[in-house]
Amino acid sequence: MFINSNMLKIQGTNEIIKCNDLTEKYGLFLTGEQARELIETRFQALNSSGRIEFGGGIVEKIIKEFCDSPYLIMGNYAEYLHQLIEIFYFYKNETLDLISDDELIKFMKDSFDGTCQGSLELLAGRELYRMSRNVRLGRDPYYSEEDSYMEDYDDEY
Amino acid sequence: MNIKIAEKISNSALSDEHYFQSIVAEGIRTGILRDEDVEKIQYDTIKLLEDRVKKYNGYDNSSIRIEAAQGILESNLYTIEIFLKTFSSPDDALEYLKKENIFDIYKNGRNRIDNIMNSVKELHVEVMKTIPEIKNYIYNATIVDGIKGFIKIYNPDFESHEIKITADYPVFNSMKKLKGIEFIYEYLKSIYFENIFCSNFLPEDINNLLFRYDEGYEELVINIYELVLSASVASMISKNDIKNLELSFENLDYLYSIFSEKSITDINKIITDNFKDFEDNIFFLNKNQKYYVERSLLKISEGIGRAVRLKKLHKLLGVKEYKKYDEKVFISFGEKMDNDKYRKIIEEIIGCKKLSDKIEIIIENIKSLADFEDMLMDGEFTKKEIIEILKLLNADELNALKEKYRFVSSLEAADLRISEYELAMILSKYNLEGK
Repeated sequence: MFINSNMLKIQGTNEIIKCNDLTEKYGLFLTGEQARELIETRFQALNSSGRIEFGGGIVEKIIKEFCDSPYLIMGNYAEYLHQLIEIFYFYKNETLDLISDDELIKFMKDSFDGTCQGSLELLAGRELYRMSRNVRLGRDPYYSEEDSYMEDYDDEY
Repeated sequence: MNIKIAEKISNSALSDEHYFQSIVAEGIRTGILRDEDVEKIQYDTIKLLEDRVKKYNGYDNSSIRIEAAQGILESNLYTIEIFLKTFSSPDDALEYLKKENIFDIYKNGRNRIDNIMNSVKELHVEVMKTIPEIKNYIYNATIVDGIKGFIKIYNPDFESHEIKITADYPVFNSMKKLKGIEFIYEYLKSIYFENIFCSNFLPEDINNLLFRYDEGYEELVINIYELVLSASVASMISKNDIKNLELSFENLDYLYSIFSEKSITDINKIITDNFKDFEDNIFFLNKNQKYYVERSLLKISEGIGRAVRLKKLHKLLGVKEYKKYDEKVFISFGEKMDNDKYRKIIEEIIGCKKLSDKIEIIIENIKSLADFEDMLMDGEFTKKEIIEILKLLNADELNALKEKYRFVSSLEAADLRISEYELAMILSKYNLEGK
């Protein structure tokens, strides 16, 4: 193929650094080295999930969406971003590209801050698992079998 | 005086199927493309891919599966190369590629694809008007439904290199290795030329010829034009009416007398020397269609030469009941052949759909009664097939086999394998009349 990954990496790193302008007010900041490491994680995650991406792509979107999370602090910021990137690409495949990037990131943020209370294990292992199943079955991503059961129960009685 | 500048790249060095890659490789080899030109082409290709991927994703997704990206890249390159092929020389095409914006080249390629698609639609209408009234499933499924399906589902935006249908009906003359819309256009053109030739003959005569060739012709994957042209050429050589597709035994005897011991080149010369008869009696649409038929004659000569050598000319030309060269297998209860060779022959037999093909393999390869006996059990034949195959034996050989499988008591029968038992049952009831 004609694609040169070095060109793409340099472009991506610069775009992540620019996000510091927004995240600083939440006490979150990434160094140049950390930005390069995130880009590397992104490429490895893309590689292992069999995907390709142009531009800075998804990392900026994740940063902008998650920067106001009460569960992110400077001490865990870079580490959590690495994991969120891997989780994102994994579930892009699991959802068969049926939902957009923005919808997936929003779901991740809502769940992370909400039912998962900052736990990445619950996010990846429970909430996203359930959501991807819903999407593959043509249901709403937020559909819950328990809620559906309760509705049927209410209708009957 | 006009001095023609020698071209650096010859068309013969380029691949029809992977034109873009081959022209860039030749450009590098000949020095037409320098390093900075190659870098520009690579960079432009990525930018074009990025643009097309965004459109593919509907701007909702920034990433895409690698397989999908690879497909879009191939589609982009095919669209570009279809425009580059319009240049009179590869050198000029490369100079254009070096200078121009790749998005403009892509757009020109896309326009060319649209033009070819319009030609495909028009050509399909003409093909439909000339379809012979033949009941052949593969022909109708491909030419009528398959092409309609292609026109409906062809996706020039992201899959311009794909065909998506399987062109199961084989055309007779070999085609260049092409992809996408180019393949369909050339394929339809070949079908059209073949149809025009066949329209010189009554549908009833063609159907009868096909029926004599094989009663199950409706389900066979055959090229109708080949059989019609072969029969017509044979009629011409036999001094019959060219449009008479039914040859007699005398015609066959005559053809064997002049074609036996002749090389393919000699056979081809005999046929092409008589081609004027065709020109006088057969309608040709234009010089391209006439050239298509002329191009077929060498392959027809090869087919006739092979049939003469195997004494199967009656089969090729649809002459039933011609028994002059009916072969019997002369077998002795001899040594069994090498195991590997035997296994390959059995696999070949099992792989054949038609009994006549199986019998041909048996005649050519099975030379001992011992191997013949094993083959009957290993060849996965039906009872009906075994009965037909047993007709290859003469009386002595058949009796020898029947004798081997004649068991006196049910105890002896119990010692036999199932396949041996079944063969024994068939042999016990079989007689030389084949019943």
